[in-house]
Amino acid sequence: MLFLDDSELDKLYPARLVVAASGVIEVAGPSFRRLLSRDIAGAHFDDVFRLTPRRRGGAETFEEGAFTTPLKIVTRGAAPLHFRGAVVETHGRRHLLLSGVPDGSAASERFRYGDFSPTDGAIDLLLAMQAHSASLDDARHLSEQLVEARAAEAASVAKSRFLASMSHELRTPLNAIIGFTEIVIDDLAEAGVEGSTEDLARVLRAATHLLALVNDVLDLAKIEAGKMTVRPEAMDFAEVVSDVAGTLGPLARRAGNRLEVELQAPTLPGFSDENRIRQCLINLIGNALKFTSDGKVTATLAVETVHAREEIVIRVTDTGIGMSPEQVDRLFRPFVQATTDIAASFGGTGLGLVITQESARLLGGSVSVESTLGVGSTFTLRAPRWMESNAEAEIPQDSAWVVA
Amino acid sequence: MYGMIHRAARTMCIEVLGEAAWAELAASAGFNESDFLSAQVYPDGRTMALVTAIAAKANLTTDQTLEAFGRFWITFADKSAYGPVMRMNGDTLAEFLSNLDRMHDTIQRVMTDTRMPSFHVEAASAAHIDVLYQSERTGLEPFVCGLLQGLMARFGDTGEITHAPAPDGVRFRIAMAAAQAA
Repeated sequence: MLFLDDSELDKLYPARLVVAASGVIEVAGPSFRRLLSRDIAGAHFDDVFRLTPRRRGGAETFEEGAFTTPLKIVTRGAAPLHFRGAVVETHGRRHLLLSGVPDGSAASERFRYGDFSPTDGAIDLLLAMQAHSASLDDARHLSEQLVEARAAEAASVAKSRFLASMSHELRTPLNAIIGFTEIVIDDLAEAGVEGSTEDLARVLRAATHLLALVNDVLDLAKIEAGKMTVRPEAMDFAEVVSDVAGTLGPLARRAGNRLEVELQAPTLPGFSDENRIRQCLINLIGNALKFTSDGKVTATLAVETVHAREEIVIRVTDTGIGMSPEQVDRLFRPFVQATTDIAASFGGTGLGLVITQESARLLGGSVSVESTLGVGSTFTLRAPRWMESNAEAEIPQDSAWVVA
Repeated sequence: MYGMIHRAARTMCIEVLGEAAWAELAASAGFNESDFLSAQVYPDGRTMALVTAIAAKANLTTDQTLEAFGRFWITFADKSAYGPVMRMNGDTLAEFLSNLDRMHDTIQRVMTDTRMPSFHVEAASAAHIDVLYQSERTGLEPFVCGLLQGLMARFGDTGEITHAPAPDGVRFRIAMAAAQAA
């Protein structure tokens, strides 16, 4: 027969009691001494603990075999602690061999590892509950994110469809207005009628401006829907830069600006999407002219080799109003111009740079900016001189809302 | 290592460097929400990639970052769902360290893929505590130093931590400041 002395029993069952037949506690294990901050030896069991569920009867309650289910006791007073165990009678002593029952409540946080028998799995269970609770929190968080992402995606698709269809509905009558206004202006000029052509010219300029804005919106809708594509072809970068500068010459002169072009070579053949390059340049030079008056805008074209790849580098430098670092931070966000004052003073949708940036990305390049408030800005467009020929991708025509 | 470590590293980065720095770091190092599941066990290489990225962002060495992370881990774990388990581990530094193996053993039972280190308190007195640290992993001594510093702060202790390689692991000595002064 195995006999254990009190110190050995303390190690095995830190939360143990020896209770006399009178109900007086003869021995309390180290856990009770720590948890109750006093030695309860000599106190009556009923003054310190109560049985749960409650039972009639006195100390005889603890006779061995009286509990067909585990013995359960609770400390009296606020924030009770729960213990579970069994009654064992040996060598004339009545032992209550107990274990704490941590339940995650603030009260049970008073338990320490040392309060549990090394063979007690209660803490394993508690930790498992907490780990599973943390996993459930993760799962809940992820599923909420998924629902939000899907809702945002659906809203984005709906918005892009709406913008695309609205842009189409707007462009058709606008093209009619522009076309027929041009015809009327020509007819009046041929007929030698004077006086009305200037007003019609204003109508034409306003309609053309509106068409450009609608085209911007359409481009953004394509970008957001992932439908913006590029069609590389053999082209001459120098020719495109000169051509765009020539087109924008009248705009430069109207604001008293000098528009200069500096080409590394008179011709610079390459393989890229000419329309996208042209669109980028119109946006960059157009912006530079818009924010500069009685100054200078310079477009330079050069070729640089970066990581064994030839890149065309187009820099558009102006002596305009420039931007603060905070304004530069907001620059490439859709519908956001550097300041609301700028939107009011200079007009525009705030989409041009977003479209330019996305176009550059599709070309395999980038757009960057350096600017000093009150001094001017330099926008740099980089793109591979020779795009891969398989970069071409068609816009899916079976898509009901694509209106390219 | 398990996802809670990743979560702690992310939280530390956000608290110290800010949300924007974290977003930039996560995008450039390729970390997303699936790298931060609490009960998921991730390859050590992934964890070290995270620590290295934070070190680069904070302009610190990897060892400095590990040490700072060790200190942060203690407060993070205290505030986490495992806070109650942390509190059950003991009311003094020596008691806490003595129960660490049991806590790690418990965690291992729940997360069977984890590989927990061992901290064996070889000697504990008012003057110093000697802890033998054993792990399958190498190079994490700065992290352990940080953990011990965090624990000392948790219990309001001050002192000096030194460590030296031992045949069976790495031996850490915590020289308690009050005892040194006495």
